Amino acid sequence: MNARLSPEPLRPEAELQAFLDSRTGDGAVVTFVGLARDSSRAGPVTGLFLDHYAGFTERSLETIAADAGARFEVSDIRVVHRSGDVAPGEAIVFVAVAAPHRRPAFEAADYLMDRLKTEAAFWKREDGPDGSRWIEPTDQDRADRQRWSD
Amino acid sequence: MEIRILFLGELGARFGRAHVLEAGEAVTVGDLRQRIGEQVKGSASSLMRPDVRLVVDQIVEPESALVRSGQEIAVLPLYSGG
Repeated sequence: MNARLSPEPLRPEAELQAFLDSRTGDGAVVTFVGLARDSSRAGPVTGLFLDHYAGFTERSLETIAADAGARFEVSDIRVVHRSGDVAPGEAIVFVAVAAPHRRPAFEAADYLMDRLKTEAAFWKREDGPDGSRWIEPTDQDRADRQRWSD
Repeated sequence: MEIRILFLGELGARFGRAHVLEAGEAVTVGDLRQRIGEQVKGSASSLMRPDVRLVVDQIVEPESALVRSGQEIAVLPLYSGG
């Protein structure tokens, strides 16, 4: 399991290649890439800023990855999350899950993203032509997280 | 004693990221919640919000936990998530 922050632009293709290298025992790898959009319900978006608390935020990512590893029959997980300034079109998050079979890999990736969207310790500011606003998880994000409640 | 205060996210943008607070001995997290609100101008109502958490040296502690000199208190608004 590997979960880390990236203050630099993410390269999903390089992350995927590194995740695939030397992998011979798994029959499935599922990946997800989250991108910064150029608009939101509030209007046009010129950029995002992801504030984080060094050390604390990394541990929140590691906890979510470890929980996914314990919950599903998967053999490996990689989570890479951006911090700092992110431009529209850039990747915010890369998630990869490897498993002997595809179903748990799909489920674990879905679970990881639902947890990350609500419980990763980030504070996100959306910048636009009319100013900036700090954003919170949406009702949909919270409902998605609830799907996995024990 | 001196305690370092760190505001994250929107609270950092509004009140400044880092502060140093002078406090007497044997203060609790709950005491600090009020003390920070009194000393950092304009922050009192934010500090009293139930969804604003204080963590001590990166660990979530109960409001009754004692804080020692040199420790860092981070004031965390509700996470945005990733």
